[in-house]
Amino acid sequence: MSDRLFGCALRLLAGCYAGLVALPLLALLLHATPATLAAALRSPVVWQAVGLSLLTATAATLLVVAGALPLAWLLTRQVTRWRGLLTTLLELPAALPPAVAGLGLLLAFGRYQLLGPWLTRCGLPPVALTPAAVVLAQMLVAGPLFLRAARAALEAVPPRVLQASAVLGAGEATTFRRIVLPLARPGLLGGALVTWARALGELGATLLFAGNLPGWTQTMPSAIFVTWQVDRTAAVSLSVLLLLLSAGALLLARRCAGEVL
Amino acid sequence: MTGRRLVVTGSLAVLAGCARPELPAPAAVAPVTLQVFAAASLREVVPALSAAYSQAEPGVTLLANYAGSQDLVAQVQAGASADVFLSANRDHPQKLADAGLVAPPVVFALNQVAIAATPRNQRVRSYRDLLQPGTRLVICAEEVPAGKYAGQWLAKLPSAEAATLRERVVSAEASVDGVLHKVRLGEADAGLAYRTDVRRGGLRDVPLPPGTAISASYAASTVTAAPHAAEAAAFLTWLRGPAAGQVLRDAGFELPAP
Repeated sequence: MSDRLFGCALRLLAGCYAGLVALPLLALLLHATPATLAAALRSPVVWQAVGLSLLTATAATLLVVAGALPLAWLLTRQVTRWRGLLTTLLELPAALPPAVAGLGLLLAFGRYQLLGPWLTRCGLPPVALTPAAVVLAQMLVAGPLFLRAARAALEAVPPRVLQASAVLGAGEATTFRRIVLPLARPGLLGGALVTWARALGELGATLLFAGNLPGWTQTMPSAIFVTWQVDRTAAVSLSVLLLLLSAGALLLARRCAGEVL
Repeated sequence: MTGRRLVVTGSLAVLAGCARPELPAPAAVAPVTLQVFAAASLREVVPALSAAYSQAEPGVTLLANYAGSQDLVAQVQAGASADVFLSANRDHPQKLADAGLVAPPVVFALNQVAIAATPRNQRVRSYRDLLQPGTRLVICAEEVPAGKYAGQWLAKLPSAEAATLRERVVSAEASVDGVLHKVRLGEADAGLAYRTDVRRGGLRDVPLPPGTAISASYAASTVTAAPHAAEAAAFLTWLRGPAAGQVLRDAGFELPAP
């Protein structure tokens, strides 16, 4: 009897939660008809936003991988007392409200803030309110997802394999390239895809740090944010596109990790 | 958040009631909190209006929610609990009035489009400086009233200059707050906002070319489904009276002809 009750409670709670997740997605899909989607796809503003989003999210993901993969490896290899604190600090931007991340970026890279004057002296153009700012915002907010995935993937490489490689005379560089990377590849790829999907959806930090200009810094989320009050059809069409792209990336990520679809 | 707070206060009240059954009944006139949905460009003047109104009507407190007027329209459409809607234009509340969501809007204040230059550099000292290559200009998106007024202003300029200015735009923000924020930090050299914004701290007022003034009308309406309809109507009557007019003029607004 108590087991049956437990089973019922499990199913009820799980059903409620799944419904909560599924309903908004369903509502968006129901709101968009093929005709409105096609109309949205013919609008140049939508294409500009889609193009800019794909470009910036890909750039942000590649740059995150370039920096966070070495970082994850160092954190895995070196056991220091500060590792826990350091990891928390590095993962913090993912937990912060994106607007806070955007404000931090403005105060760090702004023309008259921390680094800005120095960048100007080096002859560099301003960072804020440019596509570069879009990429930086996405990196800051989405990067922790890759760092976490990369650490898990690298830590799963058995130390015995590394020792065997060293015994056989391979240096650290060779071991990393020939042993660690191939073994960690599924986890790293999966992490990169999740990071890409998060970068694609970034809004708060982008609005604050990069602004919003069609064809320059307006990503899909910012286009949705600015147009939804006046042109709900366009906003819903863009949302559905974003939904499909993210779903594709997440499915692919599961596939990379070797999970059943 | 408010809901939770209500629940918490409610539970505390119940608990207090349990502990002290001899608690006197609340006074006959309960204090009323009016929810005022106000355009972002009213952010500075609404607290002053609120202070003045609390002297006229001690039992009524104003609780303001600021956003771009187009955001507020969407919030009212979505059924947000509001008593009064103060929009930075007439079209937005008119749209809601046509749908029966608010009473017909009444203009209560006027403003002017203005160029706000950053205090961080001297790049923009006159209108001509805006046309220089490399000048970074921010405006509001065309969905926002301030963006519409900016478009009207550009349309009054020679078309070649308007085209150049459009090239100088580095961001089209979702509210005047966004424009002012970026100009104050110096990320933009100048922005298009309202005269009342430029008057307050720090920003430099750059005169518009002669003959290109654009007037902005602020319209007030009571929300049809207002929780405090009578108090909302009383506030609107006060808003068009001499006491509110003085507060609005002090903040740099003009008043409509009576």
